[in-house]
Formats: sequence, C-alpha cells, structure tokens
Amino acid sequence: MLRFLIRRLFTSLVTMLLVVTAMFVLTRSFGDPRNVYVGDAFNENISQERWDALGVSLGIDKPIYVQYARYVGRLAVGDLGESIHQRRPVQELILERMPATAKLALGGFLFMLLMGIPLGVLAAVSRGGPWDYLSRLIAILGHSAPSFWIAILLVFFFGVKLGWLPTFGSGGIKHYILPSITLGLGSASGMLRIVRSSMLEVLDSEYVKMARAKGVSRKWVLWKHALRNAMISPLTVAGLTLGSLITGSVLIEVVFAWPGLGTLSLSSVFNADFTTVQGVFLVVTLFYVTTSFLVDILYALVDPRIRFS
Amino acid sequence: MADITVSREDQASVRGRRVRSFISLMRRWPVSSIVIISLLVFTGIFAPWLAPEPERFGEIRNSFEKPAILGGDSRFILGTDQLGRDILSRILFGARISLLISVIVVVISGTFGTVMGLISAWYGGWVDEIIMRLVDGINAMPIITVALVLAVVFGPSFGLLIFILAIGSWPGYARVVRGEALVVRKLDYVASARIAGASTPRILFRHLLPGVINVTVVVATLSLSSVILAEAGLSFLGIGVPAPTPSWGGMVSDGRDFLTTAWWVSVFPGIAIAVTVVAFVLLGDWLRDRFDPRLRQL
Repeated sequence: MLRFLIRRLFTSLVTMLLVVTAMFVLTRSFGDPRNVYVGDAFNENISQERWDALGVSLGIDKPIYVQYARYVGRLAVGDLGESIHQRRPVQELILERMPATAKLALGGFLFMLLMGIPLGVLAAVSRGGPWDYLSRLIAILGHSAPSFWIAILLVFFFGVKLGWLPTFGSGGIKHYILPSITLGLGSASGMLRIVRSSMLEVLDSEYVKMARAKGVSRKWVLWKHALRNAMISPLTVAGLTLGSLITGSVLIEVVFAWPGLGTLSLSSVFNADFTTVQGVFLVVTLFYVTTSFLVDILYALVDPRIRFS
Repeated sequence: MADITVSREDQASVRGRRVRSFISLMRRWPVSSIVIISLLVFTGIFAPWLAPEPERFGEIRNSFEKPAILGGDSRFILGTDQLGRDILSRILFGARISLLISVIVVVISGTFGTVMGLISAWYGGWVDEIIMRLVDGINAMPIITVALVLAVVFGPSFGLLIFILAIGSWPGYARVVRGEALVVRKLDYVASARIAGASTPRILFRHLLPGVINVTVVVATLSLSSVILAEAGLSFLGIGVPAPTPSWGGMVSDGRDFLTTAWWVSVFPGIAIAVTVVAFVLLGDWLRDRFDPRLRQL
C-alpha cells in the first residue's frame, strides 16, 4: 500500500510540475513575458514605472533558468502574483470567490446523490419496466443536453414564467436550487447508470438470493443487504466528480451571474488579465489533481486489486 | 359475414407483423440516429441553398420577430434574434460549423491518439511510461480552464478552438488503442511479420492498426458528441467560434438577455445541440455494442 501511495503521489506531483512548466513556456513563448502578462488591452495605458517594475518582479534580466526557478518557487509558496487589472494579489481574489464556487459545487454534488442513487436503485429493481425507461431517458438527456441551455430553460420557467425562484446572484437557500440542479444533472445521469449496473450485479448475487430464501422481506434485502454493497463503486466515482463539478461550474456561474471562480476567470479573460486567469487555472487544476489522488487512494483501500496492478 | 371477420383478423395480423418488424428494425439499427445525422450532414453541406435568409445579416426592424409556427411573420419559421437575423438560417449554418469543427477535431485527435497508442504499446518501457503519464496529465487538466488561459493569451480563433478540443480528446484514443494493441501485439502473425523482417512502421500500420481500428471508430463516434458539446460550451462563453459566424452555443448565449421577451432565440439552438448529441451518443453506443462489447465500461 505504501508503495502504491508513494507512486501515486509522485505521479500527481509530476502532473502539477508539468502543468506549471507548460504555463511558464507559454508566458515566455512571445519573447518578453510582459506582453502576455499585460495583454493588448493595457499595453498603451500602463505606466513606464509599472512596466519596469513588472520586468524586475518577473526577473527578465536574469537567465531563463533563474526565471523558471523563481516562477516555480513563488507558486510553491502560494504566491500567484498581482492582477494587472485589479491591482491586487490574485490569491486574495481567488480566496474571495472560492467559497461561492465551493458551495455551488456542493449543491450540485448533493443533487447528484439525491437524484442519482434513488433513481438508479428504482431502475435496477424494475429492470425493463417504466422506471428503467424513465431513468434511461433522464440519463441520455442529462448527458446530451448542454448544461448552460438547461440552466436557461430553468431560468425561463421557474424564474421568469412562474416567478418562484431567483434567477441570478447568490444569497439565501433559494438561490442555490436552480444552479445546483443544473450543475448536478450531468453527473446525476452518470451516477444513475453506475448505481443501476452495480445494483443489478449485487441483486444477482448469491447472498441476496440467500437472504430472500431465508424469508427476509424484499424491502429489507433491498435497502439493507443490496444497497450497502452496491454503493462502493458509485461512491468512489462520486468523489471524482467533485473535481469536474468545480470546472463545470464555470458555465453555470456565467448563466446565473454567480460570484465564483468561473465568472472571475471569464471576466478576466475579457479584461486580458492573464495573471488572474492563470491563478484560477492553477488552483482548479491543483484541486482536480488532489481529488483524483484521494479517490485513487480510497479506491485502492476498498479494492485491493488496484494496488497491485 | 364469416368471410369479413376472417379478413379482418388477417389484416390485424399483417399489421401486427409490420409493427413487430418495424420495432426489430429500430432495435437492430439506430434508425433515428442515422436519420438525424444524415439530415445534419445534408443541411451542413447545403446550408447556403437551404437557408431562407442570410445568416450573418438581418434588418433591425425585423428584430425579435415571433416564430411563424406561433403566429409570427411567415418568413421566419423559428423567429428572429435581436439583430433581426433568421434563427432557422443561423441554425442551419450552425450545423455546418459545428460538424466541420468536430470532424476536423476527431480526425486530428483520432490520428494522433491512435499513433501514440500504437507506439506506446509497441515500445513499452519508458516510452510507454512517458506517453501514459502525459495522457494522465492531460486528463487531469480541466479543459474549459485550459481554454480560458489560451484564449487570454492568443485571443479566440478557429485554429485555437480546434487545437484545444484536439488536445483534450487525443488521450481517449491513445489509452484505448494502447490497451487493444497490447493484446494484438502478442499474436502470432505479428511475430511472423517481425521474423520476416518487416520494419517497425510497417508492423505498426500494416499489422497492428487493422486490429485496433474498430475501437478507434467507436471512440471517434462517442467523442464526436462530447466535442460538439465542448465546442458549444466554449462558444457559449464567447471563447469558441468567433462572433459573426453562427454557432449553436453562441446563439444560446445571444438569447440569454432576452428570455423574458424572446425565449426562442436561446431555446431552438439548444434543441439543435441536444438532438445532435443524442444522435451521436446513440450511434456510438450501438457501434460499441456491435464492434466490441468489452468497451461497455467506457
């Protein structure tokens, strides 16, 4: 197990280092990195002092390997640089917006579990029946309809037509309903399919038949014996979707004007604020890599075959 | 009297047989997918002749015209947007853009991914290790945020869009092809080719490739749907297809601010995306089951 852990940790670190290096190469690919950092929109109105100061802080008078070491070193201690546009440290901006995105991702996660698990179980129990078809339909739609479009439809019906729910911004619990549903729908359809197939497998097993033969009631067998064992792989997959929920939230945040990392990142793109976009990218990637690391460890703990493959 | 009853029963059984044979046809072939995709390809190719109105220009006085099916101006079957452009014409041209981009992306990433997968499986060792870690690394990167970074550096363009989508999808091919090629590589005929003195490229492309081309086709079809979705998402954010060119994602985004007055601007292009993606998903599923049921877990 320890060997697996070390190996996996090493892979994660290499991935992160590769991402950071790619970023460094990208900024230096135009010669003077200031052209990337400052962006076209600001080239004319940035003062000479700020231009020079940026050069000093990037160390462009030093050899390239010193620049690289400095770049990696700063990121390693969590210094993401200063936003040219907002004149504030990027880590501050990110910390400000992070809670909103995290809460939204959590909302989507909850919706995924609340919808995916019961529907998956129902589909497995009524295999070939109406519930199975309904859940198949939902799975295909959730997988195929673009989330941002679903978001707009929901806003139209529940916000504009019926006026039941707020359609933009964050606030009370009501603000979470529509964004969470939209964000969670795609993952819920994946969850549903995994729960269904896992449940079918378990329901077919000897010990479930044994329990039924002993005279244990159908309901009890289903919820007590089968579901618990069928949940192992769906739950590990669920952990992995947390990462994709964070990135998926970019699209949803834009529709709902949610004050999170997605809107920060997109508005920074249009402000040609490279430092901020880079910061959000690195933080999100770090989160992604970390969750997949944790999920793999969890998976290896649950299923010993993984460790030795 | 009796004769009439008999003939009715006959008719009923004939109809029953027809219905049954229709259902089994639908089961055996993904008919709806094939019909939808053929329609799309047709409209994509012939968009300039099919579109009733110009797709990039409109007249402001025609803006937010209701769809004709709901009693609006009969010229605009699906209504018009804020600039008076005909939604139907833009959807038809959007099909062209969407399909063109996804096909280019699939061809590039499919070729590159397959070659990488073959090389990885053939050489093994550190070559395999490097390629597979690269695959892991790219899979660990959220593609939308990568697109945001590249858009701020290079500015949105067709070339960049295709590059981003291709970068995001080649690892899928590499991984699956590698798995498949590892099996084929151990077969006797490959060993014979080697003994006969075939060069490595020849073995890779003449002997290994035909063995793995099935899975490449399956992955390509499945990946078409996700590329279309990703392109729509990026265009929706404004970092995909550049502005005046109609794209489905961009059209959904156009209508976002006018939901209260003109819902059709967003709703119809969204339906186009969803229907297209469903068609490709169903076709991909069918191909997968047909060619290789082992890929089920994909």
